[in-house]
Amino acid sequence: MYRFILRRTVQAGATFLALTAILFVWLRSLPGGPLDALLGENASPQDRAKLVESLGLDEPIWTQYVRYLGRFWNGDLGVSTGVWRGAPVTEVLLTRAPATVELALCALVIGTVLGVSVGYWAATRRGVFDFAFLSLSVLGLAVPVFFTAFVLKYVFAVRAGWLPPSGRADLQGVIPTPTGLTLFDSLLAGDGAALLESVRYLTLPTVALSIIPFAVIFRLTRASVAETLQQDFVRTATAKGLRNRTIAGRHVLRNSLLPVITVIGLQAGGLFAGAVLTETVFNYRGLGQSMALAFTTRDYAVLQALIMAVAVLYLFVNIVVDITNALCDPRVRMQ
Amino acid sequence: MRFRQTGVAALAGMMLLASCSWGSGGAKDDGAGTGGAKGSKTLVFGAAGAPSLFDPFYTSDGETARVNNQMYEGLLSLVPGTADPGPGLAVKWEQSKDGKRWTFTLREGVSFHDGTKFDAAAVCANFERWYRQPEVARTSAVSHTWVNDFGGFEGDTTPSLYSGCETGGDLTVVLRLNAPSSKFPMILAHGTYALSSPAAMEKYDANDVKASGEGFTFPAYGRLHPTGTGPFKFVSYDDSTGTVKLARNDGYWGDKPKIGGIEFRTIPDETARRQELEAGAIHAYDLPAPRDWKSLRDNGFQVIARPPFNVMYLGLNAKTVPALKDLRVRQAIAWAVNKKQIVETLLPEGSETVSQFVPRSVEGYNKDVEGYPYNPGKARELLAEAGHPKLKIQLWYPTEVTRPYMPEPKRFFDLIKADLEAVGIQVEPVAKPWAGGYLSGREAGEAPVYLLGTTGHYNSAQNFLGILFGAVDNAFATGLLGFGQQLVDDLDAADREADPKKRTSKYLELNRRMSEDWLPSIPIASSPSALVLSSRVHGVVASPVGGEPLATATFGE
Amino acid sequence: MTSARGGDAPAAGARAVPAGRSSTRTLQRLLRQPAFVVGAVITCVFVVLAVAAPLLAPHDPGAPLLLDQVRAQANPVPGPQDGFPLGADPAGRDLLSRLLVGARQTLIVGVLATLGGLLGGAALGLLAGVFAGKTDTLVMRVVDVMLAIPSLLMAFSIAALFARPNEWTLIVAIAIVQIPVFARLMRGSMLVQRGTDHVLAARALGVRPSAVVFRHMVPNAMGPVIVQGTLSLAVSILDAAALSFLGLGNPDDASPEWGQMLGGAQQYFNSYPHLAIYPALCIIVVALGFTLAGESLRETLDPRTRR
Repeated sequence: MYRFILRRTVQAGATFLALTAILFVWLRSLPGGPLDALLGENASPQDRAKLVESLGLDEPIWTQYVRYLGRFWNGDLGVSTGVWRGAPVTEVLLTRAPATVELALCALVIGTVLGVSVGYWAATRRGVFDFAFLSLSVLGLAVPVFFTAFVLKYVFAVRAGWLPPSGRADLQGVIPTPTGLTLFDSLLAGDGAALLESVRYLTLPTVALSIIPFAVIFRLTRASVAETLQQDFVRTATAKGLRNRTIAGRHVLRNSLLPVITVIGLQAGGLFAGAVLTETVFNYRGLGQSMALAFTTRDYAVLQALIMAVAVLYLFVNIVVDITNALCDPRVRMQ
Repeated sequence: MRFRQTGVAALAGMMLLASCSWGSGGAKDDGAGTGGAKGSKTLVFGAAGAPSLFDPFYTSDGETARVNNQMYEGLLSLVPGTADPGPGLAVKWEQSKDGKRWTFTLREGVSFHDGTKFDAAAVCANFERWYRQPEVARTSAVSHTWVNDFGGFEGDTTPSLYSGCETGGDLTVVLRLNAPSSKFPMILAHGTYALSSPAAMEKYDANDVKASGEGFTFPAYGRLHPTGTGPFKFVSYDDSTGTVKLARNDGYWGDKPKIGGIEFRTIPDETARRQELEAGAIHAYDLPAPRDWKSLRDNGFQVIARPPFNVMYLGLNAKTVPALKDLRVRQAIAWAVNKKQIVETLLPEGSETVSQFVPRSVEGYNKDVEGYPYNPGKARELLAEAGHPKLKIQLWYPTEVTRPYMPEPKRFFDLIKADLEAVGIQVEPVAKPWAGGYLSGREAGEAPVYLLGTTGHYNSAQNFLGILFGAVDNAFATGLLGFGQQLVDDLDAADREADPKKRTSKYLELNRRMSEDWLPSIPIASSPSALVLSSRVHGVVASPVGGEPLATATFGE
Repeated sequence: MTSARGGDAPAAGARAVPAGRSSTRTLQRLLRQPAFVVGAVITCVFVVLAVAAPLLAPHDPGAPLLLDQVRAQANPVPGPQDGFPLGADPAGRDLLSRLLVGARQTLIVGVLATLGGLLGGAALGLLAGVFAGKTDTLVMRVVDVMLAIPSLLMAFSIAALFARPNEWTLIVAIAIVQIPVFARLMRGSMLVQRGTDHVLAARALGVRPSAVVFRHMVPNAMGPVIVQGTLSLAVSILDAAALSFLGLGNPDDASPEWGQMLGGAQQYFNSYPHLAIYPALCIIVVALGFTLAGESLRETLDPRTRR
């Protein structure tokens, strides 16, 4: 088992290193660059030449990459050249991360809880209810995420005025914010008003972002449960006269959830892509919005760090999923 | 086979219900929420972009200037509603005969936010700091405005306009220049030359700029401890919520603000800014799209247009297309573009066509120059005469950007492309992302015909012309056109003319020649941008250069 | 989003079906499913519209016919009028014609992007599946690296790699991000084929390895890949819309694509929501059509879900 974990970790490390190199070279081969943002629209060719030289950007790309790795090793991810001009990238990531973590977790939890429970329900009942949710989930996959977000914002925030149209709860100075997660901080401080405020800001982006994970998980659970119900051991259990609840918990759910766990892992990367769109629509100041901003200003340092962070998250989740699978299913360990 | 539903489903249902009831139960009565607008005396302003740094010397963008203008003041200030200089921290000023010595009498009883006294020594300390920037900061990527306005730094090979600063007692300062300049004294009203507390700058190491990777890091002074003399003090900036908070400076020397503070919220999307205003979460925002002006007014909001202070132009560069070296070809393009149609269909009310690279309100704009009103027939004639009846050319336009002078670049492109095609020019469209190849391609001379504009900071023709054409090696490749050096020399001569009357006539002549004899590129339009205020906010005067001081704002009912 | 929506595909698709054995029965089973019928009808209507668009469109979609009515403030978007049943867009071009011609462009982008992803992915999967061992490991590592970057961001970066954005940047970007899904599917499919009796039999009979691969394995392994292709069409169209929304679409809108129209209408959403809603509805209906058809196909061809 330990060798299995070790092997997966080493593989992930190698993948990560390859990714840094590809990204570094790739981003810097794009036309334009951070200098455009730094110099603005009235710069002269001499200004640019001087800047390129003083920053060492005329050196070969591999020299620059080795320097980047050196700084990386020391925990220095570079400096923003765009919207956060002059701010260390680590600082940008740290201030922005809680927002996305909070949003993605909320979306994933709601998507999973609703998806698994409704999926289970649909599989066991079938009929109109099943059909309605199945249609809804297919529809959920067919609507562009940002359009859903726009419509939600327009209906619930602009027209009805029930929820704020954009942004994030500003709790600075209201309660202590040790984690930056607004829900968690409010609960920690036991402040009901702050909690309500956090929820009001989070509701629309969460709903928009959770639609796809919900649809995917719902369908998978439904299919998986339906299949498990046909299995002999469930029939045996029923024949043995076990209580329905025991059969549901011990036999059906446990056996149906294995593929679901794998997909929840896969959703993490997809969620981040969805977050880029959702956060942009709701001006929700997380990593996704930063990524869109960093891109339009060609803020390579921030962009690279963000993509790396996503990749690390993805690799990590995948290892966890693999290990969970290995624990649940001894056959995987043997491969 | 039927099962009782498990607790999971029940929980899920509850969450669904709860999320619905949060929606309706919410705060219809105060759209503002925590730290929001209504009920408190803090003005909440929706900004289009985040401020970059609270040290005015190292910044040049409008979003940052808007914040810094509330905290800092310069020797001069802009007379509200104009781009003309008026008294600021100096109450009086005069220039010597040769225009190289400027004597300022300072305001009495002014102190910085850290409690230190504002005096002549503090003024000189600021100028000396700017002039003696560390080597790494001597690039236009860091000290943008100084490089443009003053040229070099201490000990540089590039000559500097600045020569020295002397104190004559506590309240008298003498600035010495190496040459007279048309930019003086207006330039001192520009936000970049606002004055910081020398004590605070020393304490927080204001000059400690470092190059790192592809960018620069800035010291604590500009990030956390800005210290000026203005009506508002810095409280905090939080990137996670995108808000800058300022509080009233109760020790302010002038009329104290009626509002308790200002909160700037970054809301990049224009539609979102409008929605926030309608939801009552903000009191004002900048840069409404022209199409929204009318409906905003219909809904009871105040839309205050700024006097036009920019020039949108069609840039030409003969580097890759030698045909453009021919004046007749450039003139043909100028005749071909229907400038009036652009102003009417794409730009807000108050926009006007221009025949020169300066807006109409600027000293030196030549009213007698007619320019090139729409005349496709003449364009075709000139093209035939020049031997290019079937000219083929790339037309560049930027994506991923809107500029105050060019709200949706693609649509400007569409119109101009149609105009050029109508006179027989074959247009090859080239779209490039603003920071992803457009600006750099233009600078490198790869773009033969492109869309761009320039925005002024103070009322001086040099402020527009000098930046665009002040060197031969520029984005218009005027060096290839035969008159490039002449243009630079004429600009210098006008700039160095100490007598204001003679100077103005030099600019008038220069603008005539640029339009009739040289035509390095084609000026198109000058357009206003606007500021939106809720019906309750009064006392804000729109400024042509933007970044309005908000100290005069009041809340009515 | 590709990985998100395609996430459950490899598991289901890896179990291949010998194709063409009972096509009539399959078709009958398909036609009994309302989901398939709805999906197929939508798809057919869409394809017909796309092909016939130039004949059906009342005006040139790129001609600013109502430009004279456009005023930046008083009348930014000309409304419905004689000959222009849906009105015009902010540049004065007939909206109905743009929607119709948009069907064609959307189909082109969707089909080409999916085809690119399918062929690229199938080739990689083939390599991995045929030459097991080191080649397999290497190919699958590359696929893992590609999967490690969220697909939308990858498409985002690829689209930006081109010096001049146009419709091909969109197609290539979306095609590339689809590759890993198809590669995994193809590899799984090939691995299953390796163990089947007819392949073993062919090898035992001394058929040349290349013939075994291309005559016996590939045709059978392609089934699930092609079904996934139907589903990917929807994903391609949605990804194209997302990229356009983020400003990376084709800036030349003379012949529009729905995603581009939707992306460009976002600033008008408050005052002129119809500019966004029409193309959005078109996208939703078509994506729904492809998804329904693809899903029913997959379920019908996959014996495990057959009941």
